[in-house]
Amino acid sequence: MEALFGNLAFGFQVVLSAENFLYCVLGVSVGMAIGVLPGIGPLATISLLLPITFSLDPIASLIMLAGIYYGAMYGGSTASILVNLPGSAPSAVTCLDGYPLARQGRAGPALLMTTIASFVGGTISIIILAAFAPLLAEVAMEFGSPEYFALMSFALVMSAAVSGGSFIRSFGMVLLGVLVGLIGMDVNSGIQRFSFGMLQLADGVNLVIIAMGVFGVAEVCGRLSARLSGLEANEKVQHVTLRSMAPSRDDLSRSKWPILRGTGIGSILGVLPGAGSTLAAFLSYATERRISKEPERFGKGAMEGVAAPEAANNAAAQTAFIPTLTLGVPGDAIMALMLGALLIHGISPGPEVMTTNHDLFWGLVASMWVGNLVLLILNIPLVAIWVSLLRIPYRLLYPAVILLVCLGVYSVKFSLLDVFMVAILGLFGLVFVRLKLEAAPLLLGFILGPLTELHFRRSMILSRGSLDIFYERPVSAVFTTLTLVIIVLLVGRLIFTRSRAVA
Amino acid sequence: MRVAARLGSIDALIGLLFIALALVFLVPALTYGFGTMQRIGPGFFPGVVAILLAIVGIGNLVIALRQPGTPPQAIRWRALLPVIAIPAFGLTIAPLGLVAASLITVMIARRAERGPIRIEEPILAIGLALTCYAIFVVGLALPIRLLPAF
Repeated sequence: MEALFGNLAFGFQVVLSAENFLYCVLGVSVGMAIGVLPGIGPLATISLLLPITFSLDPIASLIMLAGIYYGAMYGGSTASILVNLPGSAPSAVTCLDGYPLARQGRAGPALLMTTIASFVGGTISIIILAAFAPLLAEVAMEFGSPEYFALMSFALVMSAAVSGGSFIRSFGMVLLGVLVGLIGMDVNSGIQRFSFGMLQLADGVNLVIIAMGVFGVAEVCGRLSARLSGLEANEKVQHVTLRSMAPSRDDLSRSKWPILRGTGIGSILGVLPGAGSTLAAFLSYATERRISKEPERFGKGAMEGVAAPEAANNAAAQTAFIPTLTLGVPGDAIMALMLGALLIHGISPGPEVMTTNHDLFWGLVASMWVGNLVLLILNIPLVAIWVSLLRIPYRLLYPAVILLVCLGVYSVKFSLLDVFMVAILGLFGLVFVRLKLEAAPLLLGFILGPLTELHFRRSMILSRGSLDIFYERPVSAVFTTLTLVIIVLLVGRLIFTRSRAVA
Repeated sequence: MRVAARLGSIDALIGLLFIALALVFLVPALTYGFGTMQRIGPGFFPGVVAILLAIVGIGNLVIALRQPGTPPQAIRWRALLPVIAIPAFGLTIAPLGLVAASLITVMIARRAERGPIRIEEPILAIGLALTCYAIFVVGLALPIRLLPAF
């Protein structure tokens, strides 16, 4: 316990240095400002801003990225409540009751409750993060390649299982991501793999290009196409004043326990590889509806239907950093981006991070709480500004996104080929959107692919070519079994339900 | 029979896409060497993953052909103009500088919306160029020119 507070105090020292604090506030506010823009989710926001953080030092860069992340998540819920345009899967849950509340003229209290719920969820889960990450890191010290291979396979399969779309489609995207991740030089043999004669592909496809192409460009084209087909009407945005945000006593008493339950659910699910904030938001919403005495209120503007998932997804967003930093195994696409950013800075996450990069780890943890506090302070008085950002017409917005993509990609290496590649990946991304394929599992596969291969090869060297090694060690046996069980269950269910439908 | 129509459904197209992409990776992977189980070669892992992807693709295709499905929403070709704008940026940024590249990119991208060229477009483009200049050149000290060199 003493060590915990000592570490946290050290972390606050790091984050409250003038420079890091500036990047924390900057990250949170820019993330919020871009995340609130309709149709730009946290993934797109982080992708767009990733190149900007490259030139900072690793600590500042990670603090800023984390700030961008929860700023964008918060901005996303604002957009969900006010215009029913979820930018990400967790905020789709917020829409369920948030938008009906806004239609009833209660957008103000709903926004305030999401702020409070996020803050409470964030605060509690940060303490959990600070307490459990060192324990997990200690356990992980014993992990060898078989454990890592089993954990990574589990994360990959789980990310497909919880991605919202059909399992088999998302699993295909994971596999495709792994293959794309393997492009470039093989470290063991020095062979160029899948570079198709292009020298520029020798060090693999750049993370920024994938993220921007698949999330930025594809999203713009997909929405434009929907607008051209007249599928999307312009939504009127309500005015929200500071005064209208005051929640009623009823709102508060209804939300108190759902926020705490949501925090609990979120904190646990965030740690699981592959689960992440989407599942947390869905599950906490379902829990509240199930245990509610008036389940019929849900979907029609129940305040607890906004508060619980918001607390859950914010808690999960913080605890998701535990496996990402201590094991180097990200749970979802956003954590994969964070991991990618760390790798670009030459830091390979793992149990050693806590000792070798003591300041980075605890600085980041403390920055999350500072960031949440900044959000709380920024959000409530500045609500009118965020709402007015929502009124920016799309015809001004999307050229700005495209320009930011171009310049962001160009700024990484000043390479013309990179700019061409982001356009090509944008076309692929558009095909994915049209075929209802989730791109997030692809990104996780892309980051984890090379690591999974590395640990598989090492395991085989260790065991002299016997696959039994994955069953001989307890941790890897558990995760290998879980992975296989999930695959068998989901594929089995698919075959069973389909054949019944045909008969 | 109806097979041709079913080939146009979302599931069938996903199946075909996965199979095609699996082959793009599988064919070269076969030449890299599988190695032995003790010493896994560079072709083994990508080969296995590509085969899995092909199996997933075939699975999707089989499911799609057994029952009627929905075709994907058509892509409006006009919505692809922002993608065209990206290489245009790449080609103009180095010789012409940020302002010109921004003008060209924004004007091409904006043609995705119907209607005449509006005065707000160049204003938006120049405003964005100056903002980006502030972030990337003043803030991050990247060597990008604002105006053409001559």
